[in-house]
Amino acid sequence: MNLENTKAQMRKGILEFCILALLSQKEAYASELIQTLKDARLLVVEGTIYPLLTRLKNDGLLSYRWEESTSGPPRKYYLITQLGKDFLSELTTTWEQLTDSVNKVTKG
Amino acid sequence: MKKTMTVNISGIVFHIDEDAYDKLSAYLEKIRRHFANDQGCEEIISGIESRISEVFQEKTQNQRQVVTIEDVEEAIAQLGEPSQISGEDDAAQDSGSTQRPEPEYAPKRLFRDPDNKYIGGVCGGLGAYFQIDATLIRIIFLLTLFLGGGGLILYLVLWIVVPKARTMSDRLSMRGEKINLSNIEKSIKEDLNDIKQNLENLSKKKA
Repeated sequence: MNLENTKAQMRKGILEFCILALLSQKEAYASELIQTLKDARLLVVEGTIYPLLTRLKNDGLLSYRWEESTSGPPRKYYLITQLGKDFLSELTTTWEQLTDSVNKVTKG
Repeated sequence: MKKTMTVNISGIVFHIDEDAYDKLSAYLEKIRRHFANDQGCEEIISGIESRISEVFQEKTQNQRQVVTIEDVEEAIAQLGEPSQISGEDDAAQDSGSTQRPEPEYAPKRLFRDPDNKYIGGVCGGLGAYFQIDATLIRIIFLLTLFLGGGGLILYLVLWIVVPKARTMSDRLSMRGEKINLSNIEKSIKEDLNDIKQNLENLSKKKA
């Protein structure tokens, strides 16, 4: 059993959950998400977010639109789809049940 | 004094030192290979490139005009190596320990190698089995032709008796590599890269 590996797996799953949650509040482009997730200490290296975003988009949970930027390269703004919203509410329920159960078990 | 080049990253132009350029393109190539099997490979790369572009822009805002190798190294550390990006083993990276398991080798089997053959792939298979250059074995077989021809009979016998490596798992056990998902993936990736390389060479020749 490798603790670090388990942590990494957990973080990855939780990252997807958090990305959906953030995008359900408002649309954002990758660097904004990176900043928020880094501040919350959920992201170890920035690159992680790109395969996740691409996967969520290919699964139909996210869509995107391009926007020109005056200060840099064009930005890809991600939006949550209806499917993504449904998925998120499922995840939220699961998460609440999980934290509840884990708290009960670990704190006795 | 250093030679610089001009690059376009996500539509923004940068001056970049030659050594910095080499480092950056090696990094991007590594990522490309890592995600070669992913559906969204190009998208992942373009996302990462666009982030690199932003990072470089921040760094070259003031007096400085040229992207240096230090900038590239910092950007790579920020974005992460491919294995960290996939989150496979930030573990070993973080703690600096070597927890990576030793590669396990499966028992080797003798096959005829259809990818490395002149006649029946016998020499190629022997080469893979004993991990020596197949050409060397071919030379030895050729030499025996002049010394009575025993090698010819041996070759024919082996050709008949030894099975051809038909499947992916045959090929892996021919090389003594364990048949697991990551080895199969590796093998497919290698094949795909070969094909890609060949196509690129072809189109270059045409152009």
